[in-house]
Amino acid sequence: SLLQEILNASSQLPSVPLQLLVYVNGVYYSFYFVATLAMIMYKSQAFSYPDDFLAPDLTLLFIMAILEALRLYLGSKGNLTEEEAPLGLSLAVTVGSVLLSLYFLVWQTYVLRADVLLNALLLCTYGLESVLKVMAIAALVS
Amino acid sequence: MAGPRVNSFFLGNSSGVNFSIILSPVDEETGTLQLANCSGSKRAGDWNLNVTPGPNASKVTISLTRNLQLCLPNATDCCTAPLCVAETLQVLACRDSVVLAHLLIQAEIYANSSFTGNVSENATTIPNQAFQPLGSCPCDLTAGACDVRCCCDPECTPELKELFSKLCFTGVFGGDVNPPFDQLCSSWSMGNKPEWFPFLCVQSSLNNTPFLGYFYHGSTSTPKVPSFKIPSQTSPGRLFTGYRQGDPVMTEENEYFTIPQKSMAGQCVRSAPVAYLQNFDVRCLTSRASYKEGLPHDVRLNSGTGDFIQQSVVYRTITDPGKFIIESEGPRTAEVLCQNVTFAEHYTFLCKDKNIEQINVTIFLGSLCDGEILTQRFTAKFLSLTSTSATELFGNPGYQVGKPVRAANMNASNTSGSLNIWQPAGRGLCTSATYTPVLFGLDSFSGCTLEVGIDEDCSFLRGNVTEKLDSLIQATHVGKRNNSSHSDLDDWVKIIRLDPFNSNTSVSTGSIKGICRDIPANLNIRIIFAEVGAVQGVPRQEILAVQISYSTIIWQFQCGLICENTTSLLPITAAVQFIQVPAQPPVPLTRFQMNYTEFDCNRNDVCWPQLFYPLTRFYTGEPYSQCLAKGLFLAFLVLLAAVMNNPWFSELWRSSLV
Repeated sequence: SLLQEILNASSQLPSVPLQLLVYVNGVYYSFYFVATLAMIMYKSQAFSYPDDFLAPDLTLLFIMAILEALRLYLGSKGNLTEEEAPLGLSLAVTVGSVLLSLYFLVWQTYVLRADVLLNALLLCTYGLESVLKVMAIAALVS
Repeated sequence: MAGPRVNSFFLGNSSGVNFSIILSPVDEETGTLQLANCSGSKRAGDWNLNVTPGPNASKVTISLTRNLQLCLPNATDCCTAPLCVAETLQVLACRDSVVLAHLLIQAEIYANSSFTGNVSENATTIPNQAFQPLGSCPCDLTAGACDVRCCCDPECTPELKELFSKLCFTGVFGGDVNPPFDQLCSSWSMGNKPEWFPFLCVQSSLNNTPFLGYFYHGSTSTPKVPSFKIPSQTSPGRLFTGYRQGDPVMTEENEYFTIPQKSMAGQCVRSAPVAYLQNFDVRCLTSRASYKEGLPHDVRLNSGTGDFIQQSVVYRTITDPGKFIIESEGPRTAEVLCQNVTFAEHYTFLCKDKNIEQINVTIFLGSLCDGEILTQRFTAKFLSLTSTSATELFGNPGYQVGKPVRAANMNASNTSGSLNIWQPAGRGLCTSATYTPVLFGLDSFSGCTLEVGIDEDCSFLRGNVTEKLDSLIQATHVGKRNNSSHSDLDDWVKIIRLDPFNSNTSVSTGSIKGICRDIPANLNIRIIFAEVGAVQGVPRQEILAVQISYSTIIWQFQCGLICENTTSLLPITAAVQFIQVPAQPPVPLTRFQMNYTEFDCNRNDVCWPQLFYPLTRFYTGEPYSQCLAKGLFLAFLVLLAAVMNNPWFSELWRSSLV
């Protein structure tokens, strides 16, 4: 009956921790974007960039911003509508974001200590989110 | 052949002593050495033994006679490995088969590392300077061989490097072209760390450093060869609107009208243009060999309105050539070549407003002979037609640099006066010196010498000197402006005189001859002026005060070897000093502003008056009007944004569209 269906479906609620983390990630990422942009501008003034190394750094930062927006949207949508496909896609995009974050942590032209802190925190957030998404997907699939 | 060699001394009597050298192998397992007996010779392997006997000691020299160049393996007569020779020698001194002395030598000789091969024609590729410094190892000077003491040389094997590892070159020459910079996190030892250092220090590796080359990537442009020519005013019927003060006087053919003048370096320039309303009086030296004629005097000048006027020339002959000619001390030959030359040229331009009405030229001619040096004199004066005196009522009413200071004697009936300083001539004696007027804005110092005898009366000397210096100041008042008129007393400033202390009683040195105290031999004229306003952008300067004072000296008769009864020289000088003061006194600071440094921009980097720095008067990057315009425009934009954000505005907009 209808009551049974509702009771059955209540075991598959959207994951609250994941939603919380996605929201916090969004806020943190805006701060991260502004801070990294400011630091790149500071570095370009205080130090000398070898031939055209500034353009890749800035381009990758903007690509990362776009990917992040996409990833958070997919993650949030997948969680709230309880569908596996957006969550899975979000997880795939997370891999790209992790690589970009690693770039800013290690392979950037000049890595400041503040860069290290911000990126380390971002990577932790990604890790935690990925774990929660996997758990959510597992809960949905089963 | 000079190679590795070692010297030693055998002390004692060396008669009957045989010296021999033996190559002894070292036992590989035990490492022990067998002591040799007296059966060797003076040659062993590549080694030679040489003995130079002496009375008490003999010099023993052991030398290696083989080639130490490093070469390819399997070649002969050179070293196949860097370690060329590793041998143990024993040198024995024997007498009758009894070993007297025994010298052990262990030789480890490496091959010579100088390059003796072919130089390859391949050019080495120079890496991009932006990523790698050119010369990452500046001490790697020889290609293909190891440079001693250069630890960054890639051609040095580790064994070779061990030999000199403690003596490597340090710093940039040794290869440390990337020294750690201040902003690295690892340079904690830097004393002066800014506050943000913990977060904004650079964590990345030393490969990317600000020391890498910073290269210009802009475009290049080929420069046009500048043509240093006078821009020719080509159109013949050009509208010539008259001369302004300072414009060059032009001739008929649109060339500059030139008269010899003194350049900034001090030497005479033969063709220098004449500036309108700029009087000058120059003296130029020339001799017969270097004499050059100036512009011909039939050249017509542009009067300012477009028509041309002829110069009216008057020729005169010099009556007193001694004033102009100095005879050089060369040998006088019987025949001297003489030439008729111009000694002086005096130009008088009569002007009216912006045009020249008439030009009167007086030329003094004389003869100049070989071996004489002539002082030519050129003067130019611009007079106004409306008044006969030399005052100018047009142009800037204030004083200009170079114009004579106006002075007046209000006590006399003839109110004209003058303020002069010495113009020495000849030997520099005051008896032959003339006066030259004090020129505004030009600090001057001049003097002349007075001949004083040994038994000169001191008070008489004082009076004489004072009288001579007073003759320079023939005025009681000085004009405030250039156009001060004699009838208006307000236009004149009284001269403040600090007369020398006239002491009739202080002379106690009356019995001592040849020394006089308190001689007022230096005259100081101090003129204080200020800038009051401007006329057509040219600042107007006025004289505020004039002070005349005397400085005293102690005069002492200068004796030669013996004090003869000749005259000694006393220099008397006159100095003019122009002091500029602000026309208005600066606004006094309140005690609050003095105590709190945030209000004083001189004592503090950050101060309250500079809060809106681009809009305050402190910002001098752009004209204040531009700053104000930009600020107002920004304020307008902000206002526009605020108005447009208002809801009723959007309703108004919608209603107007519909």
